[in-house]
Amino acid sequence: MKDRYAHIIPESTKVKVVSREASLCLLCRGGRRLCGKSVCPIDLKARAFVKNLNVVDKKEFVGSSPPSVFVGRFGYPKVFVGPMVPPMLGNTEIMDLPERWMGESVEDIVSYRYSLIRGKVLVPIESARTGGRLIETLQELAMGASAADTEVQFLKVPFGSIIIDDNSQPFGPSAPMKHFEVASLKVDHRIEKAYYDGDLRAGDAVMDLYTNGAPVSKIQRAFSMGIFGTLKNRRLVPTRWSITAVDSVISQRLIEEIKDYETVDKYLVFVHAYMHNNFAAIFIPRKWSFEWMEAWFPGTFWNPSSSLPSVIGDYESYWGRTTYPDIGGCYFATRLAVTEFLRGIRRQATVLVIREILPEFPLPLGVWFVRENVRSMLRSKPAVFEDLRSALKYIKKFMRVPIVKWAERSFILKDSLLQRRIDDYVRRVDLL
Amino acid sequence: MFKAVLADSRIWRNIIESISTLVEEGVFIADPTGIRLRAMDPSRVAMVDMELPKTSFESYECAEEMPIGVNFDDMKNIMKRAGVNEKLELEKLEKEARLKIRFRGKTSRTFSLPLLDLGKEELSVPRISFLATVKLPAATLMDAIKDAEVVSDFVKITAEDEKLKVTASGDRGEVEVEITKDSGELLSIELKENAHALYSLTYLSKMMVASDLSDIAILMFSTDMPLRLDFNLPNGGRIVYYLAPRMEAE
Repeated sequence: MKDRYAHIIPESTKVKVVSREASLCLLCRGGRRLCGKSVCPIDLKARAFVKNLNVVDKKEFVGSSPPSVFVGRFGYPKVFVGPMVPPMLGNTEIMDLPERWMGESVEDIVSYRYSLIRGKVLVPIESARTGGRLIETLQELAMGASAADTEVQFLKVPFGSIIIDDNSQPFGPSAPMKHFEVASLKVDHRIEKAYYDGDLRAGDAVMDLYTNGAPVSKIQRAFSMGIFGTLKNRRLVPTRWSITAVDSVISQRLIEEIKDYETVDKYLVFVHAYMHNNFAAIFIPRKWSFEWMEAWFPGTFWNPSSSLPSVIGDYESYWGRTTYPDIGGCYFATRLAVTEFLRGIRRQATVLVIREILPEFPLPLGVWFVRENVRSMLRSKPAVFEDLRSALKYIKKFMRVPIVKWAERSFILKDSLLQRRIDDYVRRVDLL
Repeated sequence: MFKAVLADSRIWRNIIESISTLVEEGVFIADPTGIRLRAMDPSRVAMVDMELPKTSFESYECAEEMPIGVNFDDMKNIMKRAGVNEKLELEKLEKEARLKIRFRGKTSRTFSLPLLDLGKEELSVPRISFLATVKLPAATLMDAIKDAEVVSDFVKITAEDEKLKVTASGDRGEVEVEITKDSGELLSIELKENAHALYSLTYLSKMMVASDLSDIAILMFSTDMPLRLDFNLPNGGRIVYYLAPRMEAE
């Protein structure tokens, strides 16, 4: 990985991004500081969004947490952990429930996130197991079924604007925390049950909750606080990682399930447009494999400098993948939406999902945006085709990037168009 | 009832590995002449065709045809326990949906593997007249495949002028491997016509797992047609793979 992109890191200190396969920004997405600057220049752009929002200038207040917690990733295995509380009382649930954000404007979503003030206390990840009053309070909060009234005291006035991260939803100002108390809380009994079961493996707990209808964002929140798993293995998990972990674990289990089903019998195509994003999915009548591709248009967040849309993607065969996809957590969020759809229709398929991000799209909002859009797309009625060429012809009408550009990069499309099958050379005789 | 004894349990272990590299589940057919299995990989790009005749076994009893459907991951895990100098006994009673796998060495260890009731998909092998037939040491072929993997996911195999050429190119560079008779690495080459075709390296390298069973590989192919790769076992029996070609992008 490192070597592969070594040539795009310039010798001089003047940073210039030269893209071969994809731009540096697309690979980094503010998370890895690949350009060498201490502050992601694109992050700066995001801050414009919050300049009109009111700043909290109090060191202590009461507020209803949606409920919400945050676990940082810098300094791992010692991380900042704390609650997220807005300086207001009432039903704040929506502020940390991305499943309900479809239809909300970017401004509203950003203002939800900016209103949530994040307390910070530095703790080792093992404290999920060893406990302590604060950790236990936060774990309880993470199990909350609805918004909880809390009181929070900071050491300093909260500071910072908005943090944009491709994986997690935006985060607002924070401050080192002195004291935190939850007045009253109704816990989600499904999550509580997993918490008290010290023999239940984390993967099983996640899957049980998912099967029982818990929203992915709630499972992920509890997961980050180290609520699940066999007792000796419990630890805090940075929020950013926990989102991907939960998407990945659930979809992996769903893959094992759908592999027992027949393949879809025709080519199914779904299309969907939302907030300057175009999505399309093709279900190919073959055994499970999956590919997720994105085209960031020039002028979009992670493709500020190039003059052409940057197409990148990642793929897994029937046998799965062993490395983390370059494209990031959105891979697993999409895989989750796709596998839950296939489980619903009790079929397997080879699935390609593509997304175009048009220049008007203001801000990456987290992988929930992809998960919920793909879910929404797969709830619509598909167009049905007998062959791949007709399916692609149909998609062509909805997408801006020409199909050949997708095909050049797509493992699944190239495989479908160029790879022959044994069936092409044998006569198959099905007995019964 | 089916009962077969192999003098060396590791032969069966290698056979299982040569199949499980491509296939998740499959049906062995045991009949009075021996055991065979034919299965395709989930993407239907490759096929494995295995046969182990009665004569390869130390003793073999099977009165009538019996399907034995197995999950290869499970069977592979059992076969990993095969020890040096251990005999292997396979046994299935008529009514039992289980296969007994017994290792006989200093101790006797018996595993019981639940069998699967898999539908009967009768597969026939591709019928192709191959233009090129090349015999070479399995290790030489393995090296050529590994060389190609350095630069690409696909490999072009060419037979011409009494030579086998293995070439690959991609973003990561280019490689060309020449295997000639002079070097002694090309044991034989029969050409009806020059031939070349492109194949997936992912599959080829999976197939090379069978090189544990045979030092010699026999490669057959035709222009833009499936490839056939044979590994003949020293004590009779063989593993044959078929791999569908890939068309070159225009």
